[in-house]
Amino acid sequence: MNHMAQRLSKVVSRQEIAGSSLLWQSAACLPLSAQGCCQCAKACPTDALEFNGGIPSVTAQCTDCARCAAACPTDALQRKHFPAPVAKNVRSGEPVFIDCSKVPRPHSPEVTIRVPCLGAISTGWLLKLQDQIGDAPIVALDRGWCSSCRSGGDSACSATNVVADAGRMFADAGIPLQLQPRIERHPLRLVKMPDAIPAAVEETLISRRGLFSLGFSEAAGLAVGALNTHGASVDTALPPLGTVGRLIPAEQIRRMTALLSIRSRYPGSPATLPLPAVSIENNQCENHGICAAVCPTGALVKYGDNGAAGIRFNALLCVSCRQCERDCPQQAIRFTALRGTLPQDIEQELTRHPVKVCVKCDDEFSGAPGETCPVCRKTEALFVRRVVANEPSGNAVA
Amino acid sequence: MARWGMVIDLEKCTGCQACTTACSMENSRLPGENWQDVLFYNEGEYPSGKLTWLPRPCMHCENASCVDVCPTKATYKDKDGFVLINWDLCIGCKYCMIACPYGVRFYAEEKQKTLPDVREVWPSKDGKVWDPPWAMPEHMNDPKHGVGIQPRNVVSKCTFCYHRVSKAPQGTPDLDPNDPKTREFTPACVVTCAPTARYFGDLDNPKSYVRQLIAEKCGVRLQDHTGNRPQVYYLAGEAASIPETRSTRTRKV
Repeated sequence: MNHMAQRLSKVVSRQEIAGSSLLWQSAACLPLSAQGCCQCAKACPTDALEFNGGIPSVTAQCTDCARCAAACPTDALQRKHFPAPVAKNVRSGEPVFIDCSKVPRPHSPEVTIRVPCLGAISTGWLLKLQDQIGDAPIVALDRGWCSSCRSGGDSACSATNVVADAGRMFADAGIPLQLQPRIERHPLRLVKMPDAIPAAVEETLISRRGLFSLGFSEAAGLAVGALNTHGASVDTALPPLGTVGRLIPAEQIRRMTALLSIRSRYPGSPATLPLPAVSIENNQCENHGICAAVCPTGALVKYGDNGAAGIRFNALLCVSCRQCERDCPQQAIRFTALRGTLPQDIEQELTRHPVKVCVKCDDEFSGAPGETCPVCRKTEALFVRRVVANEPSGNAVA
Repeated sequence: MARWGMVIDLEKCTGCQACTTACSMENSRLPGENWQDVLFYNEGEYPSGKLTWLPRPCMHCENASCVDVCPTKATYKDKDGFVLINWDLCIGCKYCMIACPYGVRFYAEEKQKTLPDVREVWPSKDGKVWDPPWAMPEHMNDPKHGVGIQPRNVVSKCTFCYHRVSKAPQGTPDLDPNDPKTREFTPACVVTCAPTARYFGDLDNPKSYVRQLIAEKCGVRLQDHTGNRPQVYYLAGEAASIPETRSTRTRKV
């Protein structure tokens, strides 16, 4: 994996995807290391995003709604100039609005964050905003346009899912109900809807200083700057990412840091975190460690200590790609999406096998049954007498 | 388009391990990481027991289980019948090593079994496993086909000497080390085999000698019940036996 990391380190800077406002960082993209993530392509309302040989491209159908970027678990895709989850002039207790940037500016309330599309908000972004604005609730404005908009998708309002997700997380974490984000219906006449999402640069009013810092951050490679604006701080109490080339589950970290930060203001109630869970059947597992090898974020790792070996799981790092489940030769691993996890259960041991010494080659092995290691057993199997059908036995001289 | 295959005549094989050594030198293998190995085993019980042996290269199966399981499609079946590893894609998960019924795949990060650890004696500066003084020329390194010294944390295997065989002219039926025209394209183990127990040729070419040998001498594939359909055939003749069947088989007349 070392050479892979070397190769990938050359491409840590983000590259533009032609025909859209998207920036793509190949080093953070899952399809390169795990087959079948493609959450971005699934999220696209117009099927404009395609992956060819692990490299994304967009067709003319792209509406620049950035729903794909919201679906990306590792921040490999981002939209240029996507507003940071920070609101100005917030008054305590009064809501902060989120509005579609298609809505003419005079129609938006005073304290509003205008996003390219309401579907482009990720849960992490919403929680991060909630953490920033304190006790003011977030209100997404439903203009009744989503069903007529090309970027709209299926639901009546694009923000439905993400608002529901955040609400559920707040409820599980024991955060007061009045803080839960909600959708308010403020319909506008459809004739006011522009065809396309306004270009991001016109949309953002930035100060002179802001312009310079923007210019510098783009010149210096957006990777770091974008991480900061999106608020995925990696320095929180996380275990070190052991293997080089492993990806950072930025969205999940953003969610959990925000959630824990908000929760720390409301102590007392029992809280669970909405994290994915993985379980391994200890009897079936042969401790090959393939799950740990294919895990793109290092959520599953092999350990070996005190005469035992097995697999350890860190729920914070899991991006729910389910690669481990697909690749387990014993099919011993089971994945459960978003289960309420107690904070002390975030990191846990999934399996434990005693370490044995092979009677043939003196190598240590664990997991496999018997006295000989799997390698020696395989060699032995080459010499096992096997009866082959229709085979002449003995001297078959015709 | 060819389908390269090997025939090993167990009647002729003396178990001298020249092929193992030639392979190690040709491909700069670590000691103990023998892409081509000769396995020795005891047959029968005392007092009629005897020591027999079996040369075991990669079988380059037609229906290779290692290719099926690879999560990153790093292992692939080449159009000319080679089963190769693209080291740029391999993540070293070792699934292929579990899937392979012949045990002919290797992972160099395992504990070194011989001393001194040559990886420390000749350490590599550019992320390779080691940097031996007798490595093949730099320009011949071909990580896309798994030729040369592998980077760290990848699985490696016999390539049927891809760097030689792939240069053979189209339509060559056999790669015979005794023919000056084809000697340079012949795999190292075949070239070096002192008792000429190995034959290498195109299994799809009706003119090839390997096809004739398999047909006449009743070539047998190892572990055929797995459905992998190897492209390495063993000939037992009258004097030798093949572990797959343990029957001595003779020419069909």
